[in-house]
Amino acid sequence: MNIISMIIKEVKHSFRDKKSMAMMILFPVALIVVLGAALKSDFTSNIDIGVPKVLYRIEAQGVVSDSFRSSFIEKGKDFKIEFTKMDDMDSAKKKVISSEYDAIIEMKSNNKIEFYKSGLESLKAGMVEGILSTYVQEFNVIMNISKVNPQIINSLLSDTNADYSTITSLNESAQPSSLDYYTIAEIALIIMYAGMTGLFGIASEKNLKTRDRILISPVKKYEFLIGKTIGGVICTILQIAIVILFSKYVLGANWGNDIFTVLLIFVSQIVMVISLGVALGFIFKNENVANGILNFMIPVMVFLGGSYMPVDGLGGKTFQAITYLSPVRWVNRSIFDVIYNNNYGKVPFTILINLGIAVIFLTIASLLFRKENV
Amino acid sequence: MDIVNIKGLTKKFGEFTAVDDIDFSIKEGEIYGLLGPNGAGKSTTINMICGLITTTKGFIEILGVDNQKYSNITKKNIGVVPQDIAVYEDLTCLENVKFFASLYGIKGKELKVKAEEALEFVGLSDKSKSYPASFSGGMKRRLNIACAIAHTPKLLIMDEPTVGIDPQSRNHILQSVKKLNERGCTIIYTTHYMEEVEAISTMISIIDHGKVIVTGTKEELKAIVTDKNTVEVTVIDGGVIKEEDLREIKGVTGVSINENIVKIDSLKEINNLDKIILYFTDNVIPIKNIENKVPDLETVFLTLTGRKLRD
Repeated sequence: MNIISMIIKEVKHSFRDKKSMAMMILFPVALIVVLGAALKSDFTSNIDIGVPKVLYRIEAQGVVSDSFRSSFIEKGKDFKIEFTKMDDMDSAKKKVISSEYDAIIEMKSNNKIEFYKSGLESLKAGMVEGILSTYVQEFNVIMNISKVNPQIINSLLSDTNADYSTITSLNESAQPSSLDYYTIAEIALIIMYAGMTGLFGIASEKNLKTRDRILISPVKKYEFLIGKTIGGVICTILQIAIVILFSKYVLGANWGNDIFTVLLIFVSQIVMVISLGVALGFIFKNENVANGILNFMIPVMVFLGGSYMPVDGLGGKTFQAITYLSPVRWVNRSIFDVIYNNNYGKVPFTILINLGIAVIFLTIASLLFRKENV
Repeated sequence: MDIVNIKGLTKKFGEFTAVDDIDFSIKEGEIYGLLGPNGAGKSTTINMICGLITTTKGFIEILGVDNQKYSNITKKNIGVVPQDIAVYEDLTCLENVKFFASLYGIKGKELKVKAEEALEFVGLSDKSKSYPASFSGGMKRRLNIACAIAHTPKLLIMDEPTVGIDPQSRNHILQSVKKLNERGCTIIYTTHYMEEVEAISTMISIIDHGKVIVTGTKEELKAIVTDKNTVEVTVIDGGVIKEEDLREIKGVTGVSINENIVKIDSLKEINNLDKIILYFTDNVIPIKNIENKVPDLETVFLTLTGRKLRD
């Protein structure tokens, strides 16, 4: 009950704070519109990531491997992938490491498909991985059907027109426009600034002396901390929801076919950044110092995350590796993978990173709060 | 029945002892004044009673329950009007009161009714939908009180609730304190304004340097510092008064005349005011003003500590 009261109060504060509302809603909308329009030419009709070059080998023989060859490898042109047959795995791996090729696909004699890519993240390899996983997903559906009715396996594998799984995002021409790109990127950016909601949520209670008043009541310290954090998270979710609805229905930005997963990633980012703000509110007695630190950290993380401009392919290997130190990079990358590549590989890791950081900061805040002699 | 029972209460901040081994108990229905200058230890004592800060040593019992062990129980019965105005300027009056009352487990219709009652009590019911940002200091202080009483606490702690407000609002607050007390609420009232304590308190403790110097009713405290009554009479012409005639009145121990003001000291146990007045009327000496000069708590504090309350 106490936590709910705290949450309701936080929502009221946020929605009556015109400055915060303008910052969290109007600012990202303006950025999406301006950057989406101004940098349209940089994105043309799509982001030209080039043609992924993939080495492949099929050891297996039979109807399954034939189907793989005909409906995946030979359709490479449709997917805008250049497949090259390989003989030797070691030399193929060297070619991938040296970036001569982007990935390796090998179908073993037991029909098991193995996928190799360079340890360094590549958009091209990610795209191939996404398409391959879609193919495998569809293939698995066919195999499951055949377990029930083994007689129809040959007809299913030779039927190239039917869809046996609900693959809707595999669209060779789907690439983010500048508007699509900056919709995701600017929302990820503005969510980082929600750290201030967490920070000032703690600082303002101290300044107004209302924190003592709350703690005089039967409210426990942990209830106060959880109430402030969840309150901040809900406020930000509501604010961001307005931006999302506006971008989707007014601006017509592409949110893909699985908006739930995209929202889940954003929510985890919100939890992370509110927890960071709350912790800074306890670490620093002076809110201006904490705010200064946030204002330094956010632009760096946002730049590395690609929210100012795309960072895929920017700089060398070292820079690319550094970009993944930013949680924003994981958020942006995993969302683009979900929307455009149907690739969910990074989603759990991104959510875990965000929630892990949140747990660390909330633990710090909790320990400092407990130590305070109030 | 003791609502509050404090024994050996001590609070140290590093080497500094803010509250030094104090004992006192407060009976149900009392308005207990804690009087002392700024920095005397009043607020620290209050903060320990309401569980906001931990004690270094000592024992606090609220309604027979150990406050340190079972603060979740005792807190439900306490309301606190903090020294600083602690309300949200972006929530309406009603929302402020409802929020703080909800923290005591009140909900639904009851919450609304109690919040509205509290606002009515402090005279802000017509401002229930207004935001405190537009309020005067006095109105904010009244809202500060409403937020502390909506959950109808058995013990209300008021920490300097009249600081920085106009006399009219101060008067309103003091009247409110009396009314709350009449409704059965026991009150701890801290202030460094001795007039306020004199006006409302049924029991007073004077605190200085973290120690309770003396406790008693205001009459008992005043009795500590004087064994005489002084009557001050202002006349039109002081020259016609004969000191020796006044000294002959039973109980009079001293007379001094300063122009038109006559100061007559008498033994405290002898009531001779009628005889003093009779002297002036019999001798056709018109009286402009007459005042029974009893020592105030300021005098008590000055006598006990050697300094003024607002030094």
